[in-house]
Formats: sequence, C-alpha cells, structure tokens
Amino acid sequence: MQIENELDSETARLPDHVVYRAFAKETVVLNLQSGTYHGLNPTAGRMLEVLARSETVGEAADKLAAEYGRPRDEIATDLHEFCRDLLDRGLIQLEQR
Amino acid sequence: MTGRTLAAPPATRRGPDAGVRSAYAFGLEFAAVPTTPAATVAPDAQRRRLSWTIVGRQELDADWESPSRTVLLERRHASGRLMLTIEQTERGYLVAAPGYGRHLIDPDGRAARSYLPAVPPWRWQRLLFAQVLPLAASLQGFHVAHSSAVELEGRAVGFVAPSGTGKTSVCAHLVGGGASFITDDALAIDTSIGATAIAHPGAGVISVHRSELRAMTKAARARLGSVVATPVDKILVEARPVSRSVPLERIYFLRRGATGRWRVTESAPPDPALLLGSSFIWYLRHPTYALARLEAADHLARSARIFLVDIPPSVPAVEAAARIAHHAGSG
Repeated sequence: MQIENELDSETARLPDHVVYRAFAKETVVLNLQSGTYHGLNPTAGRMLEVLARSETVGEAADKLAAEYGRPRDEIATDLHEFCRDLLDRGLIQLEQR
Repeated sequence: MTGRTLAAPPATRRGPDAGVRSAYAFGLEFAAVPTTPAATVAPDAQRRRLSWTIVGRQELDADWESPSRTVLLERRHASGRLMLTIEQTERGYLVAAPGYGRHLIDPDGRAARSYLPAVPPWRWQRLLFAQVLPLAASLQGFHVAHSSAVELEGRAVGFVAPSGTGKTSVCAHLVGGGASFITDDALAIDTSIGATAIAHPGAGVISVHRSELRAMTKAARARLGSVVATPVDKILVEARPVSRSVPLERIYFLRRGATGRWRVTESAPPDPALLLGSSFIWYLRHPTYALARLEAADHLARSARIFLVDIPPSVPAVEAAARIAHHAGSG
C-alpha cells in the first residue's frame, strides 16, 4: 500500500524514445530503442493518454475514475499495475514530483 | 530455359549521361538502359530521383569492403547455397545475390551503384526490381508494402499476402480481365502528400505460375503481356504498368485456408497489426524506419479501406480475382 501511495504522487512520462499512435480500436506504442511495437486495447490506450497528460499518476486515476464512473480505488489498482507493466518494458519513466 | 533480351547488355559506367531514357518505378525516377521494363516518366508522377550508375565488379568490390558490417537479411536455398544477402555498412546498404548482381545503395537511398553480371537481363532485373529499388524507395521515405496491385476504375487496389498465397496470381488474372497493372510483390506508397495515400507503379515484370498462365484465355494472356523468360519456378511476363501514381483506395489481405468458405470481411476500423505486418522492407531496424512504418500504418488506417479475404482451396485464383473485382466494383 505504501508503494502504491508513492506511485500516486509520481509523474509518468513517455521517454523520448517512445511514441504512440491511437488507432480506432488499438493504440500502438513504439519503443524506438528496441524497434518493438506494443499493442494496447482501447481502455489501456486511454489510460496511457491520460497518464501522459496528467501531473501525477494519482491525478490520472482521479480523471479515469470520473470518466468511467468506477470506484477510484478500483481504477487506481488497475492503473498502478498498468504503470508497472509499462515501466518493465521501458515505455514510461516515473519522476518524483 | 528460354528467354529473350529485354535490355542491352550492361556496360560499365553507364549512367544518366550515356544516352539512356528516364524510367519510373517504385516512386523513383532513374536513368535506365533503353529497354528496362519500367514505365516512362509521366508528368504528373509524385516521384523522387535515384542516381543509378552501373560500375565494374572491381570498382564496386573496392567500396564493398568495410570493417563493420551488419547482416540485415540472408536467404539460402534448401541446399544451403547463398541466395541473397543484404548488409548495412557506414557507406550504405549492400545487396547481393550470386548470379544476379551486386548493388551498393547510399544511406539515404538517393544513389545506387550496381555491378550487373553478364547474364540474360531478366536475371539482374529480378534482383534490381525485387530488392534494390524497393529498398531505395523505402530509404527515400516511401512505405513499401509486400503487395501486388492493380488499378480499377481509377483507384489502386492492393493485395497483401505472404509469398505463395496467390497475390500475384490474383493480380495477373485481374490484369488479364482488363484491370491496369501497377505492381507485383512490392508496392511503393506515398503517405506524405495529404489525406490520400498514393500508390506508385513498380517494375514492368510479373512473375506468374505456369498453371495460372494456362488458366487464362488467349485474350487475357495478351492483355497481361509477353513472356520474357521461363525460369524453373515461374514464368516472367513483361507487363505494362500504369505510367502515373494512383490513389490507393483499398487493400485486400488474402488468406488461404485449408478448409472453410469464401469470405470477405472489412477490417473496420483497420487492424494496425495487419498494416504494420505488411511492410516489405521490414529489416530496416533504425528508429527512423520503425517510426515511418507506424506513421504509414496510421495514414492507411484512415485513408484506405482494408478487407480480409478467406480463400478456400476450392476457389482457384482466376475465380478469386473475378469475385474480388466484383466486390471492389460494388462499393
């Protein structure tokens, strides 16, 4: 829980070597360092978009909870797991705000 | 093996100033030997220039040497004998196939120097058209798809499929039936002009299975073109590609099923994985090209209609072509 709370206060940024394009039913994320394309479903694609435009992960969770009409804790759990997946693949960087 | 001469035997240092004609293929305008099977330049073509020079073997080999080489692609025959290599060095890209020629392409794709062996022209033309020009086009910023294409009612229609699935056969039957030929196997697409993707004609050669040529009527064979050579696997036909770029309206992804029924399904919205996977020059790993492929896929997803075609074994290529022509014409 401590780790989760710490994540909420951090900023998720796309590194310079990561670009994405939103298609109608899929978002494709390209890691320019590895040349690997990653496909995200529409929900994950929306999460990435909101993450990239929010000051913190917590703020992104707030926005997504409001957008999807779901409990904030439920959305935050999914978003934290998503952040860890992106981090493992080098697709985001986390910075202490 | 039978054959006839399509182009004059290559001489060294034959370049743009050697009394040759301007040819146009894969979006590139280049000086070619007089009878190279490619369209003559049309005034409306959105083309880019390629400086192409034919040099001697020794001269090319001297430039070929490099302390650092990266093998991008290597293909071998079933016997293990080398078929094709594409390597990258600090000087550019080296494309070689024993018996078919050797080529050195500048990193930006704007110049190529070639050693063409003393063989029937169709042999060196095969490597030039199948690998060298598509690679140069890709380096110059065109998206090159693994696709054949025809023009139907003023619009380009592409056929993407893995080798051996029948995209050339479908293309050949459509041309035999009256469509205009655009390209066989590699389609250069320009997505930089505006909202419409532009398809460029490829080389004026199509490589057709004997059985497919036999399945054509005499009139259809005449429309397709004249036989150039009959190597072991296929028959090379000199076709007449369109002489200008054509708006790309739709792409059919062909799939041969072991069973099942004929089915055409629109991929709407288009699946980006299909479009990304259709790249002909997939071996360029530099970030610039990975990004270019993504942006081309993004453009095509918005500008072209994408269809999946399941072709059961019971439907021969000639019938598949007729059904696709009907589908393309019915909106």
